Amino acid sequence: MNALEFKNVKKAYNGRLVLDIDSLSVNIGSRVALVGPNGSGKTTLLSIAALITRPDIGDMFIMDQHVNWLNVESFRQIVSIASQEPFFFRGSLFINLNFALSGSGLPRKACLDRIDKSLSLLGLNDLRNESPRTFSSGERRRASVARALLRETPILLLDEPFTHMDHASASTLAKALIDLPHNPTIVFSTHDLGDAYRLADSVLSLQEGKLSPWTPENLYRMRARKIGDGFSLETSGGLSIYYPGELEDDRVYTVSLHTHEVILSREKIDSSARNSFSGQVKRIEKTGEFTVLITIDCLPDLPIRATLTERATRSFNLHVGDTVWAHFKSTAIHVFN
Amino acid sequence: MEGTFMNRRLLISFRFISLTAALTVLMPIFGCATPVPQASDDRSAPVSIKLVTCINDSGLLDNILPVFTSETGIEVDVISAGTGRALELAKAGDVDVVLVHDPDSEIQFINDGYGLARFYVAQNEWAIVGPKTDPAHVISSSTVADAYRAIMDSGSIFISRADKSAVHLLELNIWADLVVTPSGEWYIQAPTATLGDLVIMADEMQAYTMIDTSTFHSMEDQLNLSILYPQTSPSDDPALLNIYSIISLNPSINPDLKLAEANKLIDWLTGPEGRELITGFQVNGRNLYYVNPDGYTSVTNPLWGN
Amino acid sequence: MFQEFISEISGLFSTNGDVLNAIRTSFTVSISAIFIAAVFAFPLGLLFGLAEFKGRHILDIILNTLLFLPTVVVGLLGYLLLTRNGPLGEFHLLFTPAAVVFGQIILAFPIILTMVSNSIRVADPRIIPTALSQGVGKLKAYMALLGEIRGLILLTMLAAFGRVLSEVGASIMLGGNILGKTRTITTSITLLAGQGETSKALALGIVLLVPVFIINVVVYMATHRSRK
Repeated sequence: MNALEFKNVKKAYNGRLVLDIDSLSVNIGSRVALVGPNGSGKTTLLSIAALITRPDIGDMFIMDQHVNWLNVESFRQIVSIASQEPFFFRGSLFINLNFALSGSGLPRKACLDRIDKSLSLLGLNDLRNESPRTFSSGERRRASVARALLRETPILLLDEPFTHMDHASASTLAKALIDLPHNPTIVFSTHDLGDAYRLADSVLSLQEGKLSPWTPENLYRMRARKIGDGFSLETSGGLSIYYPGELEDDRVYTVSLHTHEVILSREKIDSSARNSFSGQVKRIEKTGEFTVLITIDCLPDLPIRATLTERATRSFNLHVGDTVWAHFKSTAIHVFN
Repeated sequence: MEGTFMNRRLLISFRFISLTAALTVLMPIFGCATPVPQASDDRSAPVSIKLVTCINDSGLLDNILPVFTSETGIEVDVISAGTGRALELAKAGDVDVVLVHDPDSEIQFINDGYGLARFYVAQNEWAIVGPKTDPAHVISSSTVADAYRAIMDSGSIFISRADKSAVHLLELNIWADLVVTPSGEWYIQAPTATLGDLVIMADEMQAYTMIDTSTFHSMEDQLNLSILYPQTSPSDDPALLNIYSIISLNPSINPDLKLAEANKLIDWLTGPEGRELITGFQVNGRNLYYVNPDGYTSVTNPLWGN
Repeated sequence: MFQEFISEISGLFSTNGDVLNAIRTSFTVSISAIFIAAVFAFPLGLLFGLAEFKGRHILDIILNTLLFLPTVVVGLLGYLLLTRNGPLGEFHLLFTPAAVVFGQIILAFPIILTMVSNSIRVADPRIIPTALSQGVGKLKAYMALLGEIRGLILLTMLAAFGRVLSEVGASIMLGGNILGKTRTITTSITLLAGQGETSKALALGIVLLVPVFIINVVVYMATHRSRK
């Protein structure tokens, strides 16, 4: 079941197309990061998913049900959003949180419990009786997240929740979101990939309103296994990469490998890059003025992408279908959470 | 006042307060509103009738009607309006009885079928008042026409009621007898809302005007004016008579008309007790109204003095 | 002159309860009128403030023009409606306090409507979407909006109250200035002025202002304390 689905959704402001999504789907229970530079349409996308903004054309489905903008209200109990520039009502943080629960039908005690939990989770206990209008930017975002968590909705949308947050708080928040007992589908935006990996199990890239398959990194989900005095990261297909750092045995991690760190060769070479895989060139696409992205299909669960200059591609005479070797150093591997 | 309506308790208490306030405030109001009138044999509820008149500026009716109410249990709501509007309200059926002082209009009113009969209530006189210095020497006039001519010749300011009321028509008749059309800076046309306003204006401008003796005497101590013609009151000049009559209305115009109660009021006002109270009514130690003992019968033809 | 005033004021109260009656009538009538007008004007004001529809600008202009309705004209219009043969004649409201309330509702309504809708238009546009996105439902969202602009709402009610408390034209036309029933402070002042009782009339005017002053003090404290 798809928690969220967009089909041919477009939105324009002042004649400028800010969002142009042919197709987007988010599996239920997944945690998706929306990455992209400022102005790429992340907030608009989330705003549409949160039923705040209406797309100009297109269809949206929540929990496989078509959102017909007349029956919008019935979806409100399913989706919460924590905005980037959150609006708070007059009164203290407590009053704002209380209001957010006032439509939930929960008894008073349950409301108070949830409010307490949210405040603790976001480290906002001291600010309980202060007016959010006096908060700093970071405090407001945390308050916004605290508010969005209250109703324990199946879909949780967060707009740049980690921005302006220090490392420790961000980690705590990410862990808490992963550990949420009701396992919501989470879609959150960020322009920092490091933040994305704290929480996401898949990443969508947004460029100028369009979904782009291109991320600057290869991303894999791999399981760690202790080997000797190090670890190996293994895919479900049995491939493994050696990782020199400290990991937790048998735990699944998100592993990234920057496309610039992949070196291609026609023959297997012996070099300081100890990870080598052979495969066929599946795609060659121009991604920038001078760069080209080569996708190599080493094995079904390990597609490797490498960024080359256009010149290198030409002089290397690469074509689709060619067999090549991809090499990268263990230090090029980054492991997250 | 911390918090907004989101605080559930605040919202509930606000609703409660405003609802209570609205109710406590509305109850007496709508309790006062006259419901669809019952037949007048319902003795349990106090009956009230509506009287429209111009005579109440002096406070006469406010003063004497409580006696009527205590005797009969009928409350009289007195609405003040000039003759023209009073008769309009009577034609529309918005009142139960009307008391005015314009015989010509009253006769027309009855002939048109709106009224059944008119009854004499009281009288006073129209008089010329003016500054105590009397620059036009009105005081030496022997007729009202002479007085008018004297005012016009001296160029002193005269304020005309200018609203086609009885006194205005009286004034115009006098000018017509003199074969003059008054105009110029000395002739001011000021249709004031009440006669009281008229004499206040005359006082301010130290001008001459026609006013009824009751109005004048009730305000005399605040005014720097005197009655200059006629020198004695009541005079013998029938043209100056200002007669107040009460008119019973035709129930076929208004099926809800409280005719029985209105008739009771008419009987009382024109009867011995009413007349005694009217003649006894004083303001500043002056009796304002005179009741002619002969003028007590119902008159439907215009000739008086029967 | 000052001593005369003081003696007039105390004289007013020592005579029969007419003055207190007039005060009571004035306030009862005017307060009822603004609250009843608010019952209709608030939801309409919400509608006008939030909706974008084709005729909106014309409607704004018409409403603003209605703000300038002279009170005596409202009295005449009210009379035409309430007279026995008129559309509302069957209720027999003419010359009762209810008729004065009716006239004052007509006066108060455009004030409350325009001020509520303008307040909403200048309010933060994120209020309703934020409230709705939290699943509180439309009614609560609108109440939240009103709560956010409540200072302006209070001022609106005060403005409407001022307009109707001090008016004379409609009160006289529709109420008839009947002693003990529809005689308000303002109609009493008119009566006294017409009788030449200038200092009594002025004294009564001052008497009217005292409770009004108190109300204004309370409102001021209320609006200035909630500045957070």
